[in-house]
Amino acid sequence: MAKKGQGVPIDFIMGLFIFLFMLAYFLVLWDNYSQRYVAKASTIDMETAAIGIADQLVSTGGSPGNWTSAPLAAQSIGLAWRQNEIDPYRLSALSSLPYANAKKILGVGREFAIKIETLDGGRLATIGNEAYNSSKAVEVARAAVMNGSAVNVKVQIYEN
Amino acid sequence: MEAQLMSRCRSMKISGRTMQRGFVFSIDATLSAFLLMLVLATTVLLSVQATGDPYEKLQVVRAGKDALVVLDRQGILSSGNATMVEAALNATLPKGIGAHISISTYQYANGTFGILDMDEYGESVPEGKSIYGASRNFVGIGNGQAANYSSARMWIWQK
Repeated sequence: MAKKGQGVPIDFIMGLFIFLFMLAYFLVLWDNYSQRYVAKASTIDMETAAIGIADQLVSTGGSPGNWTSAPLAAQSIGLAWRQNEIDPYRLSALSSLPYANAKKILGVGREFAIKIETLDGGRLATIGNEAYNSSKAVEVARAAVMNGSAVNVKVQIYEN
Repeated sequence: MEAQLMSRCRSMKISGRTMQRGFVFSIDATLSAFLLMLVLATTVLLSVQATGDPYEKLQVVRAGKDALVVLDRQGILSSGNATMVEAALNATLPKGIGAHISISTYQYANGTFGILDMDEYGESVPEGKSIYGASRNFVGIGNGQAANYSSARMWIWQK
């Protein structure tokens, strides 16, 4: 009886060893992936904000419709007088806003920069502070038309 | 060790049903293998999810729609000039994105639409890649009235 019973602890020890090995493997993986997920979630959060702001700028005219007459009282900011057509007057109204106010109205939790560039990269306007030595930054570009020429509206969101 | 082996052999002979005992061991092994596969599959799934960009498709589709709008607003889509359309397309689309445009032009007469022309621009649509689509309808104006109706369809992909 004693000899027969010896087989069971051997099986049990082997099973336990494999289980512990897999548990340790899981814990290492969990730690690894959770760190990557946190970093990824932060990037996705920034990307979501950049996509939303870029879409708002090229697709809407802002609210209220005459927000350019009192930019500080604007509820939302848009640069388009019609889909994908940038209104230079709205652009200059946005440029006139102090950075903190623009950030608040746009609903950005991090730092931002909006750049209007020609298709070959010539800068037409810059709103906000461009990323410089930032730890993490995302940029979303949307094509639009301004004064009859194609331009890129680039929204940059970053962390210092 | 030899005594242990003999003991095991005896216990198998006592029952006289060695196949059934082997079958029990096979179930254990199959279950373990199944669990191992599950763990590996979960690991692979997690790693794939951690590296993919959830907005990749959205960005490509938006780039295509924007390009169509910009080309339409500038009158390039309706020009019928292949060189101009392709140059504008390359300049407007972000680098690393390929596109093919098909423009069908119709004329409305006697209560029906008849096709006038069909033009193709851009690169050939590749096989084995994720292809996204965008479309835009526009009207050609001549002498202050609608002369023809066009529908532009775009196939867009990441190179």
